[in-house]
Amino acid sequence: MKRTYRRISPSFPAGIFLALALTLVIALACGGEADTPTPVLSPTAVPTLVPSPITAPAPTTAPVPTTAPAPTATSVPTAAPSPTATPSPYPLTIMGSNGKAVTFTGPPERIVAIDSAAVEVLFAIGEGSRVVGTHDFVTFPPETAQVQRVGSAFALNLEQIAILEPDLIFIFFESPVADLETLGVPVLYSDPPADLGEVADNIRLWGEIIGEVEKADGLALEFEASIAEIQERLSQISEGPRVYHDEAPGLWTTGSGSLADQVYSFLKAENVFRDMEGYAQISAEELVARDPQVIISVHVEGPEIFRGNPAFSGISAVVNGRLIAIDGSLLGVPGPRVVLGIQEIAKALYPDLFE
Amino acid sequence: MGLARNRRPPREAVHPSPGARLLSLPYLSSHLAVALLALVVIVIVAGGIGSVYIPPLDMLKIVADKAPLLSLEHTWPESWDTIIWQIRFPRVILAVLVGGALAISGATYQGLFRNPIADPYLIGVASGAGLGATLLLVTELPIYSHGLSLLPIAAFAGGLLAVSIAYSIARQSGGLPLTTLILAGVAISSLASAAISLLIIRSDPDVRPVLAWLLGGFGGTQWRDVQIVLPYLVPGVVIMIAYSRILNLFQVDEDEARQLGVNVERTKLILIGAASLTTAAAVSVSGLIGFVGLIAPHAVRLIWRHDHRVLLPLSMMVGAGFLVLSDLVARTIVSPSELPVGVVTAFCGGPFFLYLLRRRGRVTL
Repeated sequence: MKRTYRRISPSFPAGIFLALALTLVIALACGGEADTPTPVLSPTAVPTLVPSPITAPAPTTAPVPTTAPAPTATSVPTAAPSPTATPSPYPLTIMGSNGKAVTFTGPPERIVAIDSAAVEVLFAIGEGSRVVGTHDFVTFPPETAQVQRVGSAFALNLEQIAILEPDLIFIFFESPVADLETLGVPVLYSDPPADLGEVADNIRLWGEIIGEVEKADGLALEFEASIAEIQERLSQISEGPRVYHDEAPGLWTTGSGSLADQVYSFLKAENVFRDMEGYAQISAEELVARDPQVIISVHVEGPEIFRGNPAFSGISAVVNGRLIAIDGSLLGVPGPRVVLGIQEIAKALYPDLFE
Repeated sequence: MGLARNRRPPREAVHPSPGARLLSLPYLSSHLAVALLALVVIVIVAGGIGSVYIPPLDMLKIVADKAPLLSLEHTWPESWDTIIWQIRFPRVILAVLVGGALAISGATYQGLFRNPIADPYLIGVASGAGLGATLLLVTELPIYSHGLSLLPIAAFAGGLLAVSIAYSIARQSGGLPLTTLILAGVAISSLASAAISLLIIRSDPDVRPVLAWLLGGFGGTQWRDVQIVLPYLVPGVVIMIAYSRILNLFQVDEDEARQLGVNVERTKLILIGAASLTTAAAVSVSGLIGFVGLIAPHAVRLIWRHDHRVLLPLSMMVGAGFLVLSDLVARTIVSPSELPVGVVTAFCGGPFFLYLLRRRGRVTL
């Protein structure tokens, strides 16, 4: 899990150092529990929950291969008196990840969505106009440039949110929930999807919330179909290559529990740092010893860094020129675009199978 | 700052006579020889240990194989060669250079400012370098050019710029009052730290590279990094050692030094320049590593002596050895992951220093 840090105390130089050292130590100390809400608002925020590896299941009915259980937030059917023929789903009660229920009497029209994935889903099903506010680091789709920004993880601007007069505030981490509730607007907190199956569940959840079940279901089915197609092509592969996932310069990688790691398992590849948890900075000699066959960088400088360092010249991936940079934002946001990231990685891992 | 008056350097260090100089020579060299030997042992041991286990015998063979005229049968995997020569040794050697540079700069600043809490970052090098690095990371500028990180260059420039500003402000007030210089440095540091915070908060939150840099570390060191810093470190260190006798004079009184024919203002400029250049070069490749520049010289003072001719080179050895060992801990304790070395220097250095203080009583310069 990516950690972002609080302000550095502006004091003399040793102050910077000590503050950072402390922050890091604290961060390391509580780094184990990946599901502790570390407030990161970022297009590259990867949810890290309990790793539920995607295993190839019975190929018969379910199109999405996942052992994932329930979606992150669950809708609870409320006794809906429906006199008409097409039953209205409202009132609708959604249970947040913190156990707090939010009841909708109608589709929310003015949503402040503090979550990159939610924004992507809403725009993807053509309901982007409902998003009246979002956090500072949302970049996709481009139309979101017009959406009012309400701050970042550390500094949510409550006044700005209030003046937008939202009828729903949606957020993917828990720490600011209590503050947000003071605005008197329903606050739904839901952990981000933890695996590929939950991505589709999350899309459907939004369909229910805004009363556009069919549109959302269409998008979810499309997502599931793309995943199933990739899986179909992979059926002839029994064992994929060893992969090093290059998350950021300085040998940062992601271990088990990350979305990236799940993608590699899904693609039958072996993340060479599976034994790590969450985000970690690894030692160069360990990388040389584990000798990955492919290096996937989610930042553009990656391939050049590995080519340029004589220490890595003996690594199989470097020897065979299998250094690939992909768009990091694709795997960073657990929204519908994840499938594009998976396709890119699939191409990198199996150039013959995917073109 | 009358701290210096409590304990003067030995008389022969202040007013050297030919005889005294001869007398001090063996003393100096025997201590240095022991320290150097210890450092060499530390370097070899650190080179032999890492997150990947390489048996000591093989490690020695790999090292011996590099010696001219010797050619051994390669009974080890090729990757061990890479690990020893391209990963561990560049890293260990860089830690030697950075530790030595920080310690000798710290000793020089402490002597020059006659201030026991002076450290190599005192007059703005650290926060200036931090601002330079952060600016590069948050802008659209490329961080890498042809696989070479531009971070050290930005940090180096930022560090030297901050010191120059502090220096020229202090100069405005006539002469070079060291207190004014320290205060100017502190003000500039605060300003730069605030700017770093602002940039980090206002930018895309992928700040791991800058945080890792600010915390200091030797991950990913290559021989190239050693080549980059060496040209800056060597002249700086040579100048500081050459001026170590004059630093002794400074301990007594600036006026007395002046009477003895020392150009005080020029000496200050040269020593500040040398120490800042050395620090900025070290910081640019390793990030901010705290404690080394503060505790290595004090450890030498507490255990051995105060004569700057001994103090400066010994501090360098102690700082180098300490940093190599700290880095060894940083890269092995949570293997296969790593810790920023700054965390280790603070965790190990702090208690060790407190222990020294408790045992030896008061600190004097």
